[in-house]
Amino acid sequence: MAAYRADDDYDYLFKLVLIGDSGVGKSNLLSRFAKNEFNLESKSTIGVEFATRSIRVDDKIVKAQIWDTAGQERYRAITSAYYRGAVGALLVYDTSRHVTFENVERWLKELRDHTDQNIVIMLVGNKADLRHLRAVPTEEAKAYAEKENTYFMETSALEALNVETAFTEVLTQIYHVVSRKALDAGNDPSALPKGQTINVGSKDDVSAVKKTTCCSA
Amino acid sequence: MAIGHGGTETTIKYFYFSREGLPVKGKSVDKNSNDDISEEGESNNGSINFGEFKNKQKRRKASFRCGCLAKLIHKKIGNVYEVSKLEERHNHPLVAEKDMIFMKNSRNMGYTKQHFLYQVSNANFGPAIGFRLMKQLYGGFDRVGVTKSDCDDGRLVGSDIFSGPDFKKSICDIVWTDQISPERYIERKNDHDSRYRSPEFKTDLPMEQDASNLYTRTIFFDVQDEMLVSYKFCIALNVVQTENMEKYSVRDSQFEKRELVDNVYEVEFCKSEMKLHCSCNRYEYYGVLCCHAFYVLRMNNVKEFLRNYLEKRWLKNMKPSKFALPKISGASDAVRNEVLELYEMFESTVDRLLQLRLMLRILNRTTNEDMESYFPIRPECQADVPKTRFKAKIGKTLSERRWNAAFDKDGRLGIAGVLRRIQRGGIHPAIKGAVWEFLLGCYDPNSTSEERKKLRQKRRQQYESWKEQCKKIVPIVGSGKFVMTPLVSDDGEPVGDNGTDLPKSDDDSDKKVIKWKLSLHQIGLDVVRTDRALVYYENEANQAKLWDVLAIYTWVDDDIGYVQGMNDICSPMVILLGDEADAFWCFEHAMRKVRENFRSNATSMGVQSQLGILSQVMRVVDPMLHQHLEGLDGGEYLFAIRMLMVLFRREFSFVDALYLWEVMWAMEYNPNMFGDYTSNGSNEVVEAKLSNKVLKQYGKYERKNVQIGRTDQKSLLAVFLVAGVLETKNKKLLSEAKGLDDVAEIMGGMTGNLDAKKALTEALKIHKRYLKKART
Repeated sequence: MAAYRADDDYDYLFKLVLIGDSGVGKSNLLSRFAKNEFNLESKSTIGVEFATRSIRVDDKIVKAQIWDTAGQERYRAITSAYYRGAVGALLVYDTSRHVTFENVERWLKELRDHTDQNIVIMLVGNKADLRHLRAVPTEEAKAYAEKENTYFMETSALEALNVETAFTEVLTQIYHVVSRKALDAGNDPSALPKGQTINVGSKDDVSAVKKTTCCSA
Repeated sequence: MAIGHGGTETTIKYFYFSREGLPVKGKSVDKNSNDDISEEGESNNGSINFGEFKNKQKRRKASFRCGCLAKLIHKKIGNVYEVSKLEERHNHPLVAEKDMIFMKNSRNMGYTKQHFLYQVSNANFGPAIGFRLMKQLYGGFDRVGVTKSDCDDGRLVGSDIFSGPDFKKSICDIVWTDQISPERYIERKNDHDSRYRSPEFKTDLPMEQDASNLYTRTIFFDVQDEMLVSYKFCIALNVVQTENMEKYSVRDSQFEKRELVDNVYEVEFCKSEMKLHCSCNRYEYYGVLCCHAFYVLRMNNVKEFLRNYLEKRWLKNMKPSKFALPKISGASDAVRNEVLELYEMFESTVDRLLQLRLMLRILNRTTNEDMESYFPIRPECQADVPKTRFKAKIGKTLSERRWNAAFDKDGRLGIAGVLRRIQRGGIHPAIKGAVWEFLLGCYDPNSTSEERKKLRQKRRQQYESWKEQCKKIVPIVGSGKFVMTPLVSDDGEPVGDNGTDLPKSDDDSDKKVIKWKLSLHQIGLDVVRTDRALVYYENEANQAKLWDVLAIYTWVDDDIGYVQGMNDICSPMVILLGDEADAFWCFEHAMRKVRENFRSNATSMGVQSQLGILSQVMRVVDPMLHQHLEGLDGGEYLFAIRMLMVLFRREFSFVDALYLWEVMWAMEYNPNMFGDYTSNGSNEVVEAKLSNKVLKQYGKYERKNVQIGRTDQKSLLAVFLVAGVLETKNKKLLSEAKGLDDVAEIMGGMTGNLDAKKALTEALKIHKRYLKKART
């Protein structure tokens, strides 16, 4: 595991989004990963919240910029604005509430509508500590993840189970995609400008997309 | 009293305590005695320099000093104490309760007191206020348990909590608040000492004991010194006997200015008349017999102190002449003394009351009620919530008394004064709910209390009927329980696994019903996450109350429905207003201000229009920052969404957020609000002359808008609040923010670090600036 480093000291900056139904534990997953904190009294997320953490992948410092979104559908207009430019997504459901798993399909569609094809997606079944309340069998979720070609992991923000692994896995996969792309293009990945958000296979200019909405405001 | 403590061993160990309960320690050195003399009391170095008179001088046991016989000797055998000796008789009067404070053992500071002071000084009150607080807590200085001398000799400093000369000094400075108190204290203490305490005897002369019973303490020590000296330095050289007179030549070998001065004095003593005269003339000068006289008296084995050589004014039973004011004639001495005692007590009580009144006034000004006690926080959550800054200030905060006084006899409210007060210092927690109803336009301040009562009744009925409707569709409404799992699937089919068996009715096909049912579990999910740190929501019934209000609001306002964040706005109303219907209407009126923010469709949210205004404001007020943010793709100000949606609830502690809201609403107050609300928005703009009197009924912010005729644009003060907050972070944002993430981080770092009052002042400033610039 990488040690924490100074903020500016990184080789790659990856933007991740945390999505999923309301109350599945997105905010606590993030606080567990970013600050190693868990709060039983956490409040619902309004709009979008944000945290960063840097980890080490293959001798490179990767800074993850993670945007935690509100779960309620009514906020979709706001949260979807943050999907753009994301290179990874953790799609979280609650293993003790089957309905949150059922909604994964809708979230996937949402992601694929708003983000690039190559985005690294991980399906995360959170609250794995609630074993006696389990409503989504691991096999079912795993099979679904395979079908949808996403990564899969069960976590528990409360017990700090797999949280680190899940985020690290996503970031590593993104890193591999990026370095592969860089190699394909005949570039050394480290030659990429420092601190630049990397768009995986993005063809449209992100800032251009943003500019249009900005002027309407 | 001596307490002999027997151990389990055969040798019994004795621990002696002074009569007052403090272990004997150290030397007791009198001011008047020089070192040589004082040494005899506790001969630490083992050398007994008491010479021929006391060659078996031992460490005096405290209880022996006064000769009190009372004692208890007990031995521990197993778990039982076996009392081997018990003597109840005291040879001295027991101390009256009002003088208990002068006992040494009541003059040490207990741990709790020390801790209290420590905490108070930690809270940055400073020891002065802390001490005053403590005096009030314990009922005056007397009970606090520390005296000036305690501070002087550093007894306090010895404790591990306090150290450093600063503390010592400040305590000394504050023990006495005025000039006369220390004098009074010393007087009373001396009085007490003289009456109830036996001094340490230094000789075994019966005369010494007799003197101690007669003289007040200070003078007794003088007399005692003389007696001691008579032991130590006086030797009779020769005696000349005449008829009934003996003439002694006494040599006095006291140290005087380091040189041994031998002086011989002539003492004439008449035994039959008990008269004496010494050539040193000390008695004639000072009124106290000299050592030579005592020497002669000792030689003659006089046991009683000579009554005719007593100066009356130094006697214990002397009362200051002012106490003799009430002339008591024909009463016995005992009665007179009793009366004088009562008089004295009365006087000191009056003094005390006056002092207390003064202290209370000071306290009133200095102490701030703990606001959080009105909205207690679960102990385990204390660390997670931001610190509350709001404090009710006398003369600024709208108090209950002020509020009640603002109504005339018919119950019409003078809103102008109330608004002025709220804008200055918020509302006291005890009346927040009632005031909010007016601030939010639930009631017309110009209505009578009778009219309002009727309206309230009508509204409660209205709420009940809506609740009934909802109950018919989903029985769990109003049951004290709530749901967190979906009742229906998206197409309106009931989801069976949640245990609530729903009666299938035709209404279910109704789109409105399905939409409503779909939101219920979301409300439930949010209710359990609303203000969980408050003790109030530990109770499931209270959670259910919040859920009911939100569910019914969603039912009534189906245009907007339920959106996350409404729970944050609703929660304070539910806590502040006991009646659920009242809470609902208060919430409903609050929502009228911000309801549009919650409107949402696939591509946008209502709050974005407010963000648009924010963008406009920023462009005008601080073009540089606006450009910078635009460059970072933050021109939409999406990062400010939470502040506007839940009106800064997340940036402040619970109490501070309520304070911010009420001041904000007071500033936004428009006297036509009630009329506008009841006429369903079809308000004809009354272009009447705005008299000064009418203008005073507007809040600061709204007044400005009205004065320049800007009533068209529905911009909330909250927008300017955000602008103000951005302005305060102006430099940081300009220099450090290199991406939207940095902006989010800077804005997120403000939680708990904002001052509501400052933010509001800043907001008004920006509003003013904006209006000025926008006009030109």
